[in-house]
Amino acid sequence: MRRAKRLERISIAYWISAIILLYFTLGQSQAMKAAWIEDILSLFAPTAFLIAGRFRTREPNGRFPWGYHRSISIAYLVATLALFALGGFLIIDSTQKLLSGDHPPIGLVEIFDTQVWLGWLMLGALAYSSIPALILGRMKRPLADTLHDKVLFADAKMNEADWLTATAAMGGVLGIGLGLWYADAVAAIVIAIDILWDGQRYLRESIADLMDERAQTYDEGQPHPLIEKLREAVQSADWVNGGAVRLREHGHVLSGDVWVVPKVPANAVERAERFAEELMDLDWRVHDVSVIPVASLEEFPPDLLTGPG
Amino acid sequence: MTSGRRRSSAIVATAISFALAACEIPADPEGTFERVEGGTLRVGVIDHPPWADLAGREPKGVEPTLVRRFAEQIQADIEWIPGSESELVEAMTGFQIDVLIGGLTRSSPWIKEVALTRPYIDTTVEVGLPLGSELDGDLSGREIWVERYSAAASLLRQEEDDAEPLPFDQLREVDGPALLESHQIDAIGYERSSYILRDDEHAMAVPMGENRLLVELEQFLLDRGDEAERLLAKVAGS
Repeated sequence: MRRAKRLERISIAYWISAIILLYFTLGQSQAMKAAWIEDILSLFAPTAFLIAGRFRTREPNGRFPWGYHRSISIAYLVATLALFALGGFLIIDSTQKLLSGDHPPIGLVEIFDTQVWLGWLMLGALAYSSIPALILGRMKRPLADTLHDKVLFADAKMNEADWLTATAAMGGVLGIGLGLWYADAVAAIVIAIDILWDGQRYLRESIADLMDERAQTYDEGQPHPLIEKLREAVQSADWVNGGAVRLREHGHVLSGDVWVVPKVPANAVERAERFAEELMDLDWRVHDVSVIPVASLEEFPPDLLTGPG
Repeated sequence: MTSGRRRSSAIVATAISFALAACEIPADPEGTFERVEGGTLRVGVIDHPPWADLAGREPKGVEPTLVRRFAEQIQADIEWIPGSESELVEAMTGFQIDVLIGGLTRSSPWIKEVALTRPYIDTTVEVGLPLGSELDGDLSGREIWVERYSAAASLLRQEEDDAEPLPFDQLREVDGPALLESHQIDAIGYERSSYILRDDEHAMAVPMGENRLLVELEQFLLDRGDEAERLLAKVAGS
């Protein structure tokens, strides 16, 4: 976890440097603008990750009885909305430029008393903003695996996919260099579609998350294995006759309810409390689980039940 | 050939073709530079002394002189096309002229229609003082010489409306602190006070997107900053 935090801090510093560098070489290129915006958006994931780390330890209080974990989900939603909106804007802007036949001018700049074509500087800035990103992404992947962390995983994937943006933008700049004025707008559109695609995917995940969808694995593929673990714990508990489990993602952790049908009503409260502790000891991610003794499971949706009958 | 030698010659071939391609980068979508090199350079000229002066038979002034030297360098003949700024900008957007000169600056409103070069010389509109005198504080209540109906007069009114303008028609009438272009201050032997009302970065224009021509012209101009200063001093003084 500490290593992940360090990587994310390095990422933020790196992205800021890349953003500054790109800003100075923007010129009038649409593709550069698109790459620059995507890099700004890349700041969101590491920031969300680091902030989440701090909030996790805050105790719930009267105002926020469920704690602060959801704040991460909100941050995620805001970030994905931004991604989606900017992707859409870029597509419209670049298509307009393409249709109006704008020929981008790229002239000289003078640095340290030498004259250099701005296009070469653009290519350099693009290389700087993509190669380290690829390396960082590769380093984050295994960490995301071990930690089962969704935000880290999404960030790693975005970093790795940066090569597409950089290659497209470089193609755009080189295209202009070769006299193909439309190369720039086309590259920008390609990048914008990529941003939009990512944006809509994360937006959907974000919304599902806030709708208390069943807890998923960090790569959003399968129901979280902890659900199964809790179910087995309920089925194998000798003092209950089956139950029901529901778990949702609550920022970094999982919270939910476990209903049980005790075999004998005596000591139900103590047993329930102890059981809750046991369940939460199973894994640090099982954060806030209420064990609720009930008389029968009749009215429960069948998908939540832990066992037959 | 052994496989090692074959691989290294393939690498060399790729490197050479890259280098050759790099010499052609950037290129012009409309092939302007290729056409004018050894051909005819169509130059739009706006009357704006001392930058371009259309009073005589041939255009004179700082920028026509510079453009003549550029044309010499690329072995091109020049065809001069006089006109107003808006006419010539429109001609340029339709690729009817290749270079546009006449006192354009980087703050020109046409920056979205034509490609402006990097600035080749900077001038200012500032207060010039007779040698030995000082300017303390701002211009409120002071009498400032300013050319009648000029941009300087306009600036004075907008930015320093509590100054007293003394209009002149000829530069030699000036007798006291004056709001002038920096080269005019030098021409009458006054001192620049560094009280600047406007900064002008002078440039020339080429059609939008013709990056080879842009780069060639920019390189030419950036190498001749000193020459431009000398030309300006000579022309402004006359």
